[in-house]
Amino acid sequence: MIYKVSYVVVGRPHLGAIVNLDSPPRVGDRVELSNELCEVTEVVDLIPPRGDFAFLHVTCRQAEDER
Amino acid sequence: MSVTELLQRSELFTELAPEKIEQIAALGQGIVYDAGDVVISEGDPSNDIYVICKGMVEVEVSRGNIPDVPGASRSSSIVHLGQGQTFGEMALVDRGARSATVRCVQNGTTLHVIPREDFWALCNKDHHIGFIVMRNIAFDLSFKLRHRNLQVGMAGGAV
Repeated sequence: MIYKVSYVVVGRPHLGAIVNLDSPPRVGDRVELSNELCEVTEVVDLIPPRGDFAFLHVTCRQAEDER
Repeated sequence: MSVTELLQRSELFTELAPEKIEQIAALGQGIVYDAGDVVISEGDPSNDIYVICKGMVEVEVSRGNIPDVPGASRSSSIVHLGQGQTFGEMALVDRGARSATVRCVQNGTTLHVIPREDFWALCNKDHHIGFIVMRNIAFDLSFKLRHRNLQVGMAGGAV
């Protein structure tokens, strides 16, 4: 399964990414977006899976130690 | 990983047989970029479709001219796209000018660049490829629109 993931960062409208991953992100994971470290706070299915693809929406916040 | 295998990991080509993806791969070529390189510029004519095989790009749109600074404009990053994502596909559909500027953000970013006219000719010649690709472009644009809507929603409208 390929996970097509939409990352959005709360309060940061210009941070965000769309990437394909081999494994799904999990709450608490840390990810670097635009050179800023962010923490995953929520993972939900954005739309139903299709073929080899699952489509996830991930909400992040800026990591505490980056503030 | 071969170009065909990389393209198989792009949603644009999902549900196409490997031999069909090989036909598409043969139309294009791989180009390697450094961080900061501009791949396409907003407003330019559109000629190619890009598949990200490796690395990351940033998509920017202009937000109008800055008053009192002739020639200056401000732009906003709207999304980063990573491996397996495509851009420039709107050109295949509408042949309009580029709607955004795309800049590489990682050294060694590798793009498979497919000439629009050749791709269009293949889609016309092989309607199965044409149908699958056009359907997948619709899915991809829908996904990008949902992503953008969520960005706007979580920013409280302050985009």
